[in-house]
Amino acid sequence: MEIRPILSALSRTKIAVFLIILQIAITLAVITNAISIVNKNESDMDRPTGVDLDNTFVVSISTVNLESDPKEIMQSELAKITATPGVVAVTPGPVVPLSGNNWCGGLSTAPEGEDGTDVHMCLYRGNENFANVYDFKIIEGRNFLPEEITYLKEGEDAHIPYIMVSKAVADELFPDESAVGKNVYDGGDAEQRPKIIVGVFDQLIGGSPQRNNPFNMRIEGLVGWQNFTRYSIRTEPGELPVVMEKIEEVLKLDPNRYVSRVRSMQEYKKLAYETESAVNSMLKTIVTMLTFINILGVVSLAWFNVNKRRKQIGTRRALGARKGDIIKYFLTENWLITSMGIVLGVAIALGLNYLLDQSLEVGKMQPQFLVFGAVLLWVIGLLAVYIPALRASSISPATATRSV
Amino acid sequence: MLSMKKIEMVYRADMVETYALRNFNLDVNDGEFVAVTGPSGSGKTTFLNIAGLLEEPTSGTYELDGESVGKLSDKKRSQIRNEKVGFIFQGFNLMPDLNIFDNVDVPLRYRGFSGAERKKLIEEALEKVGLQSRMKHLPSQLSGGQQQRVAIARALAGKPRFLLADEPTGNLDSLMAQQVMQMLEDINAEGTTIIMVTHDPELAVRARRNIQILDGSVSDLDEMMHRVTEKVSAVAEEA
Amino acid sequence: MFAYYLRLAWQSIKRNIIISSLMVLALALGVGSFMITMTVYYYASSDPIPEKSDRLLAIQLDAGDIESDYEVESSKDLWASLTYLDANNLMEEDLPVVDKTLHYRFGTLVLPEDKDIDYFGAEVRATTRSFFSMFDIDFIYGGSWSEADDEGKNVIVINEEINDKLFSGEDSVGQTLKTNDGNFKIVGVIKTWDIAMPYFEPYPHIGHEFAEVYAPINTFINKEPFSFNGSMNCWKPFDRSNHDAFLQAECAWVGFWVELASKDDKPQLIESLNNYTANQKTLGRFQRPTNNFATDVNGWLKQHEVAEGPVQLMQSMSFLFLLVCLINTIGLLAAKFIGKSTDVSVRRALGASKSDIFKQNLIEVSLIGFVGGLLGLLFAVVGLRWVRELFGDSLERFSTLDPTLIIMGVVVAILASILSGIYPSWRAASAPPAANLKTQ
Ligand SMILES: Nc1ncnc2c1ncn2[C@@H]1O[C@H](COP(=O)(O)OP(=O)(O)OP(=O)(O)O)[C@@H](O)[C@H]1O
Ligand SMILES: [Mg+2]
Repeated sequence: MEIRPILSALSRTKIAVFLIILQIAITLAVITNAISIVNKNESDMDRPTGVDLDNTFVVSISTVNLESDPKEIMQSELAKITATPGVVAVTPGPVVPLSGNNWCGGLSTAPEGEDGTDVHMCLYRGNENFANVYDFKIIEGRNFLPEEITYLKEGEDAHIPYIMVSKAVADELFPDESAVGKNVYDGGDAEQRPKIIVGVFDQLIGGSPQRNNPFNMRIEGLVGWQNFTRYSIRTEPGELPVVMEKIEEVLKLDPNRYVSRVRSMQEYKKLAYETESAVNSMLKTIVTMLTFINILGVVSLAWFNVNKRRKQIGTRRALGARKGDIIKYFLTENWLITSMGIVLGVAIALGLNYLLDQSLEVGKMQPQFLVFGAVLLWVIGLLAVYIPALRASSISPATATRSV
Repeated sequence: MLSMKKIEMVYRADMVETYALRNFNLDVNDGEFVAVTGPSGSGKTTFLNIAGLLEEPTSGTYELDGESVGKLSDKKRSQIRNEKVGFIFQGFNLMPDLNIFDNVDVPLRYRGFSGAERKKLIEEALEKVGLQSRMKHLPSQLSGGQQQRVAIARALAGKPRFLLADEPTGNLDSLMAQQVMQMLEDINAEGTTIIMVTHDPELAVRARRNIQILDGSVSDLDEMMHRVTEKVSAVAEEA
Repeated sequence: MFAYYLRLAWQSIKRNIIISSLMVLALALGVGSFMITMTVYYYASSDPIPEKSDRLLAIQLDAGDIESDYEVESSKDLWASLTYLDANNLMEEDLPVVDKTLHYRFGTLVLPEDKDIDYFGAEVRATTRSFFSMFDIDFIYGGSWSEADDEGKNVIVINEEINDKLFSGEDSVGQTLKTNDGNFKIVGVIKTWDIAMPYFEPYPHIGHEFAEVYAPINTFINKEPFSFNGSMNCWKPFDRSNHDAFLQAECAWVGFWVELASKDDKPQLIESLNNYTANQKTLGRFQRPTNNFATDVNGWLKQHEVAEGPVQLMQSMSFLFLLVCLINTIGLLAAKFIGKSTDVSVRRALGASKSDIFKQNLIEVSLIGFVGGLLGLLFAVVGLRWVRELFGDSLERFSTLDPTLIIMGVVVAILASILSGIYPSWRAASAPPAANLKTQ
């Protein structure tokens, strides 16, 4: 197909062609950026969490009569939960992964006033079962021993001597050596008593995955006897719905306790990423609508072009052009327009990505998205123009001889 | 009523200058029926466009009813076109979506007539061309000759004093052409000045005055003939 | 003539009914999605208390650790709350303000006396009596508690929702609200707020819930075990088993706001704050450079970027989408009008002036725009419901279109369509009249 005659035909409707090029360019920019953001959000959401999402749930519970003894209540509740068939493990603890709650505090390799490495992290608390409730691996050292757990009444303060840290934290605190057995210090402790790292676990996501370094975590071997508490419970695979119901029932038997929430970790995760999934849904909708609008634009423009050139096309046919030639003409014309749009679009896409990354930290655009967007637009364009082109090719050569 | 002096029309496209008209002089009086002939590309349509104020000449003066229309605003020119000039095209140029009534209605709308006035004028005009029974038809439902008659009705509806026709019979068979020509002659008889471009010498001779455009300038056959006859009679008188 | 043009427009639309409806659809989608994000942005960024937003100021003091070497360039770089010690001191301090208040929130368990109603959790905002007048909170029944109650009485203000739930919407002033934190005498019932979020929070964000009940801070401040919801940041160790030590501790967690008589009093206010911190320096506190800030409501919302992030992202994306829809419309209209060019030339020959043709085209375009705008509004209403579902409760307050937004939507649609129609209309009208009359 010769391109020159097409170009000269296009140059006669400069503005219309420019508009469609601009439309394709902006579409490419939006689509590629949207896909890039969707992809980033999805890969964030798909990160391993260290939680057995399908088989873990959390009960939040509080006391009606605050004068009662939380230690007694919690001990009996823990016993009841453990005894429930289908329960693998349970740990009390105020903070839950992906719940939006974060307790944070730094640790240092040296007491206050001395030179040491400081690492910021957030923390979980629980008993020796914490490691069974959650789905992380202890890659160095060991789990807490039951006697290493500190038990604490509400309002009391106590030293928490035994902790485990995530690999991310361990690598930062002790880059060149094993963290196991090392002493670390909590800046919030007035007496600067050492804590011993008994184990290092691979990973467990924090309360808010959107925070910086959501895998900088430590687990403190501590149980607080408190009026308001949460139980994290892991069940046998597939038992979750039954166990959730059963445990809620059991806990509700005590009129002095109020179960404010029973929520699966899948639900927590869904809520933790609510904004991301909402943004993704909206972006996907915009991409769909844009694709639709583009098809619309290409089809109608081609349609108008065909109509406008009916006579011309008829004449061409009368002069010997085959159907295939006419179709090829329109396809080539469309391909040319789309390609120009894509060239401009790549530039706009990169500019938009730069702006969005500056203000919203959406990350750099990966080239494959540009390729994907370009291919998408080429395909859309060719498909969209095919029907009008077919229509054009079926214009009878006799059109040339009939007056308008 | 129409007076063109030293009209020049130059089309510039891609560095190429085409002289469509040059040193074009013509006077047409009230009530005349002028047939314009000339080879293809000689400037006939260009002349009609300028006469009908569709285009502005590159230079020269054009007076219509004694008024110079050279430097008027688009609005004013449109108004003159609307009130004084009627157009008939070779291709009929009816609006395909509008029925016959609405087609004839178009120039009257721009004239600002009231609904009742318009209705009266439209019916009158359609009656004149014998198509009052087809008011609700679409152009596509009419034959070529009928379409041209609608176009004539449309041109006449506003009672212009000046009718411009560009090959009005070009797309018609000779019988139809005769009909249309007859109609134009009747209209002329009622006092409307007509300028008609045609390639058909048979039709041309039926006009009261014949001019020929050659290479963008007029050679007025009648005037030449006139002068020739005058000379001949002068010679005869002398003799 | 207008009616005539309207008829012509309708005829022309009818002739290309598919293309015209697609144009309407494209415009409606563009306007609809833009409206949705505009609505969210509008609620997130609009002034929640326009009468006095410039006189209500949040206070921040740089009481931080001398050893932390952070730089403070703006109020953004400081904790958004005060230590209880400072908030309490400032309540006593003679500041050049009309009113001031401090607040924090925590959860409690409401124990309805009616056994048919289950216990339910509620959030309590512990504050002072001035809170309600400062933030212009409307009461349905009763009012704020008395000055004497501020000393630590068991009085409470509940919101409309709880009043509806427990007292079926009737005047409950004088009744008792039982909670696991004790029994409280109800002194007032406040109306449901129609603003986006509790903007006076130390860290406001979209989706923040309003506290359900309000009670004097002194009723709870000495309670053990102490409960608190929100963000707390400590920078000096203290004895955590001692509640008094906690109240004296270097932990930022209390919100503090003042109301000025005039916004011009701000320099004096800053001066008083600087005097206060200078005095504290002599007690060994505030060892860092003096960085005290007072930020008005709109500045506060901006500082916390409540209208940024996803809101901004979706807004820019929907704007670009609208732009594509408009360009698409321009292209389609241009093509359409070019298709009509013989029609235009004939009209011109029959006496239509440029402006006649322009008007005719513009009316056609506006008609498409108007229908597109109305449809877009419909899309926006439906879309907002959908968006609300996507974002869960956090957008609950964002899902209604108020009249301002509806008017804005229609204006955007018509403006958009006219803008996209001007060029094609003008192009079609200004084509030389003779150009398309020659038989092709
Ligand atoms: N828009 C234009 N641009 C450039 N040249 C033009 C334009 N319109 C007409 N011309 C040129 O002006 C000259 C006169 O054209 P015009 O249409 O008046 O001829 P005509 O006498 O009507 O011919 P025909 O009998 O074939 O209709 C021709 O040479 C033509 O090529
Ligand atoms: Mg001609």
